[in-house]
Amino acid sequence: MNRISQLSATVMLVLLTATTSRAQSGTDRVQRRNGIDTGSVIETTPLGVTISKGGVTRKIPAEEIRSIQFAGEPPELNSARTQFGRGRFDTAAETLKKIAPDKITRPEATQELNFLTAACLGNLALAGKGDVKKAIAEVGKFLATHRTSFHVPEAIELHGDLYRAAGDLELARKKYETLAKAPADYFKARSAFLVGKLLHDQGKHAEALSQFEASITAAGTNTTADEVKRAATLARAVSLSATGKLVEGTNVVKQVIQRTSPDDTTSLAQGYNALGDCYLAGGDSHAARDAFLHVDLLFNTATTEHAEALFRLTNLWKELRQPTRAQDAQQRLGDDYPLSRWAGR
Amino acid sequence: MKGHAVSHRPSLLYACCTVWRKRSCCALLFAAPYLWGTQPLTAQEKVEADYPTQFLEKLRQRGWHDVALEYLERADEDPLATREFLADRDYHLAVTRSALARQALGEKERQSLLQQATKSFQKFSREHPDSPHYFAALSQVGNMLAEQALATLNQADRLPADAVSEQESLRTRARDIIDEAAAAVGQLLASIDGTLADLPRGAALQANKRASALKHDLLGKQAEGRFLSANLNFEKSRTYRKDSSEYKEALQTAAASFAQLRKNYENKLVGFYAVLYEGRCYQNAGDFEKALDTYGELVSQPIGQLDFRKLIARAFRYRAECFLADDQVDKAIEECSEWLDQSSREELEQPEWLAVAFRLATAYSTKAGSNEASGDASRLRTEARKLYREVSRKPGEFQDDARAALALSGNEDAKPLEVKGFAEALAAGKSALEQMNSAQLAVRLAANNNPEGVEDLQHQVDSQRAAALNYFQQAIQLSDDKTPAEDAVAARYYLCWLYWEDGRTEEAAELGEQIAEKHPDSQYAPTAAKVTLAAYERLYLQAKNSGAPAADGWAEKLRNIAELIVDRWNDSDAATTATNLLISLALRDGQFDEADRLLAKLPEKSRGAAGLSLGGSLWSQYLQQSADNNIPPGDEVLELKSRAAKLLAAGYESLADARDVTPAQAAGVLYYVQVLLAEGQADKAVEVLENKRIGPLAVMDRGGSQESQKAFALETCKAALRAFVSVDPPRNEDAIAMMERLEATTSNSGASQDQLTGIYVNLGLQLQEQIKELTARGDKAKAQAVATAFASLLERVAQRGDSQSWAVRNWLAQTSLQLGTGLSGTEADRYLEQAENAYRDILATVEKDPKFAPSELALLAVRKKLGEVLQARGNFEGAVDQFVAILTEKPNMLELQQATAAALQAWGIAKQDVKTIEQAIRGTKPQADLKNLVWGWLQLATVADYAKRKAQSADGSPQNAETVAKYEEIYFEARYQAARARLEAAKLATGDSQAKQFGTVRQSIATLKQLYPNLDARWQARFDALAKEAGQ
Repeated sequence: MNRISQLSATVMLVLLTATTSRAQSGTDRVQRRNGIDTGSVIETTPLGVTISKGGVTRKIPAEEIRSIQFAGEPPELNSARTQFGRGRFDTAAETLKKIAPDKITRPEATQELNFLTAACLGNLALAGKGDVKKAIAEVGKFLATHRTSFHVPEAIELHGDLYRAAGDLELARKKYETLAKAPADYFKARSAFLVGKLLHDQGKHAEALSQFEASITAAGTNTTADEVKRAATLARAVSLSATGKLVEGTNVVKQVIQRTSPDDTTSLAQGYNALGDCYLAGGDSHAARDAFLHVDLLFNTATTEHAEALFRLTNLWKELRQPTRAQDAQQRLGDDYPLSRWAGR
Repeated sequence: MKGHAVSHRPSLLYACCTVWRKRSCCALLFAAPYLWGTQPLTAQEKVEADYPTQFLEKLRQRGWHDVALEYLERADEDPLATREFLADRDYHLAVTRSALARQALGEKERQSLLQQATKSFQKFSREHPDSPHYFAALSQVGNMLAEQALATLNQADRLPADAVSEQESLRTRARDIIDEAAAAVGQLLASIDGTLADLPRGAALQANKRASALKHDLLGKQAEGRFLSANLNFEKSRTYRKDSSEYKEALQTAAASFAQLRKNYENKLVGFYAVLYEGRCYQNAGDFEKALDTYGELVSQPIGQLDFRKLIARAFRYRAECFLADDQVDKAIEECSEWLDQSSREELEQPEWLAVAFRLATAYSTKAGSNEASGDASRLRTEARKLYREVSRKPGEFQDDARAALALSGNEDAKPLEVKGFAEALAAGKSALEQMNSAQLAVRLAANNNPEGVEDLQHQVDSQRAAALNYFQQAIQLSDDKTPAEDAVAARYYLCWLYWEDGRTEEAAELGEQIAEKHPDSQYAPTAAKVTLAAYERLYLQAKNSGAPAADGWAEKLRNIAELIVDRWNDSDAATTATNLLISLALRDGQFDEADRLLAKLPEKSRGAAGLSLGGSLWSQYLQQSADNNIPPGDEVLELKSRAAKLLAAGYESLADARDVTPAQAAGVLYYVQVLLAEGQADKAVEVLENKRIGPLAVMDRGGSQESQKAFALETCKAALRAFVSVDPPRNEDAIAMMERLEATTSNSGASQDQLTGIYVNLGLQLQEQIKELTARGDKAKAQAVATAFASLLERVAQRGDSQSWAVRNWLAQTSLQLGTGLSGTEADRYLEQAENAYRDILATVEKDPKFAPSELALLAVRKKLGEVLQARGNFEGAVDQFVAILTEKPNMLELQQATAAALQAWGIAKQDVKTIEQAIRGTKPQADLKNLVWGWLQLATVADYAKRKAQSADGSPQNAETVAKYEEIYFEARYQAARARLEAAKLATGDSQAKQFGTVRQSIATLKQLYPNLDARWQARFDALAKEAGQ
């Protein structure tokens, strides 16, 4: 295990100890993108939650929430949440099975249990380790049953991903488009980005470009949507490359990479993956290989991006007639990220 | 003050293990920093590397130098590539190239890559004197040049004893490289001295950690440089003959350098190594006593850690060599045995100890030879064999010698083994292969020393080959999932190679392809791919040459493996070969653009060589396709020529810095000369021919006795001869010298002499063409100069005994005629007279010996030519008489009738005689049947028209179409000449008569145009011009 993962394991252990005591004392704990809020969650909606502390209430938008640990929830639920966060959907699902639903008293915790169960099933199916149709049904059931959950947008996106995996692109698009109905810049941007990705994969590059541009516009200057905006900018560059504007596309990606902090290895990994995708779209396998190798050799702490790079490298090495190197990349993808969506492709 | 670079210790240590593997000075030269004791920088002191540098390091750690090279070549596209990183790119490229070179299995490819890497380091050190990598680059230049020099010397040592001039040439080249290396090391040491002098001293230095670290590193590099400098002197001695004064002087210089070094580095490991090398200088100079004393200083040292023990082991090995050379065999046995007895098992496997073991075996063997009578001889031989076997099992300096000694000492171990698993089968196969190699080596040695033993040894080669084949086949059958992947590949590779050697081409190709495709990262893959390429090429050529339909299938397979090599090992020589093959296949299919694309895909450094090869191939194709002189080359053929010219020119330019050329490159350069000559660029051709390093004349001078080299010399002489007579002004003396060389190159057999005459004749034809072109261009002075040079060639041919042959004499006469008609004035008449005499001589010879003429037709042709000469000399009467004489025998020869009419017409014009002109038009010499023997133009036109119509009424075959065209041409020519003759007659008339005659001319042309409304543009233009002249 590398230093960073050791560190995060230690942090998680501390948090776990701390939250248990707080949970016993009746405090809910909201993990936001940038910080933690504690208090009592008094309302949940698909757009966020309302938390009350010392008589003061405040709303936290859904897009800012990483996770919420509810007071009085079964301790296994938090274990499962942690496992889910690490991408161990199989062990998380096993942990969730140990929880007796009838012993949960708070409806928010029941929402949490049902969401995590459906999300584990969905992600396992996307990794090729489960039945996609069953997962679609489970996520659909969650959406139908828990309309007030702050997980609804996440579940809608997962639903779309599952339809896409099942080959029903129309329904996938509809699901993604549903997100745009939320009165929030973030979800409008996210919706257009997801539709754009779907169209790009279908080879509809001109339409994809419009969607990515819409995403960038929707994100505007909203800092919460920065991540989506950045992703849309990179995706737009890839689509540009696919329309024959390779130089223009790669220049955009290069500028993004150059503007990224050298410590932000996840963003650098995303940038180099996008650069690799541009070159792939432009038919330059050698340059694509070099870009993905940057992620594999330098920025491999970004797990999702590393899995993607390994997936691309597996194919590229084969194309470049390097079966041993292809086998090595495939092996590492299987060994290190067995439950990633890239391993399931 | 220059910046500080982190030492490249791993690569240097690696280098020392590979560079000197054939020599005994392993692990020293490049390990000087280690000997000096440079400490690695601590983590705190290391500058945090940027991402591109980290990326490069990671690629190198994985051994992916191929990817590193490609990355570096386009590193400016990496968004995180800093300016500093890009500034050092050439250095990184050079490091990568040297790493790739060391990965190469083939010596030739290794050397080629090393040369490129050296150039890159040189370029870097020249252009970046302030870079932190400057010292490392200079140091690499010295090391790598030294490595190349040693490889060249080893190459010379491997040549047969009788290849004296080749050996000498290689040694001279090695010496040049050593001098170059010494210059680089000198520059390094001077730079280090300068930088050290600029560093702070005393307390200021102590306080400045960075300066302190730099000083320590520079002192290490200084020790390395000084040792290398001394060692270059030592190696330089090998470039001289051992009995020469230069050899001894070089050793003395080296001994003095090492003595200084031991003084400078007393009690340091580098100082002790200097002692060892000083001893080697004395040993090589034959001063064994002094050498033993010097080595004695080392063996008397207290024996300590492993590195020092290695040094002691080497001292024992050299002492043993001195004892053996000095007939002190017992002393050698005693010291070596004692040293080996007190060494550990692990040490006995090290190269230094194996060398001692080999010397001990030699001592046992020598003692056995001198004690045949005693019962001890057998025991000594057994001991020797045991040691030889141990040495032969480990790769190293004495492996080949040990194998040869084993093979020569008998082969009682050759019983077939019953193998039980993959590992046993592989080991047995490798062992059989080793023994086969030993026996092969012994065969080569025995050819000189023990010819009667060759047959027996050859039998051993065959039986071990069969055994190896059997074991490797079993190994493949016995392999399973648990078999280590590289071992499984090894078994397949060895089998593939044996199949290839055995002529089992298809099986070799199949196995090699499997390895190359499925295990490209294996060390065996590049060579397996090369075998596959060669195998498919052989299969393809066999099928193609026999017209078998399988040729296309083999071509496809050949294309696949070639593409794989180009994709996977793009930087290798094999990729160049593969690309050339792909290009050949593309050319076969007429895909010129594909051929260009393939060439562009090659790395720049290989493009020149491939371009030369491709250009040569295109040039050969051009020559073949334009061989039929009667058909002007079409656009496609001319395109071949143009592409060949461009590629060969670029290929030649790419060799600008080359010290030498491969045989293929030499052929390419020669093709380039031929192209230049064909394009009339004789000056440039001479410049290329006389290029002192790579020019065909220099290559020819370096020479060789093989058939291919003789053929090269022959073609070079031909090209040089043509070039010397074609330059402005012609270099007659050089041309004559070249003729003499050409004659010396050609053997005395009848066939060879005919070939030589053929060469002269051919050259004469080329020169004629040149004179014709120059004359047509109006460059009479140059035409005259070429003609003068050509005259000496004609004279040369005339002097040759075989010039009495019909073909040569006919050529001499015809050439003189053409030269004469191409010139004017007295110069022209000289050649025409020569032609007339030559034709008359031929006819005189035929009169004496009718069989001299190969055929009646050939004789008629000569008689006709005599008429043409007479006409050209203004002897129209003689010409007409000559033609008429032939017509008397062959009245219906249209060409002869044409010639006669033309002669009459010219005669009439010359003497302003209307009657004679009229004879040209209407004919003359009535016969008994009242018909004219000489038809004249009008009758000729009638006959041609009749013949044309007759041919038209026959079938529409292409042959008939040709016949029709031929008669049509004669018809129009006759009509045109008739009109022209009338015009000339009219010009002689006056008044009404003239006007009337002009009118007749015009009328006859108008009638013709009415009859032939679709007259082709060429004739239309000629008739129109004539009509205009007649006043229309």
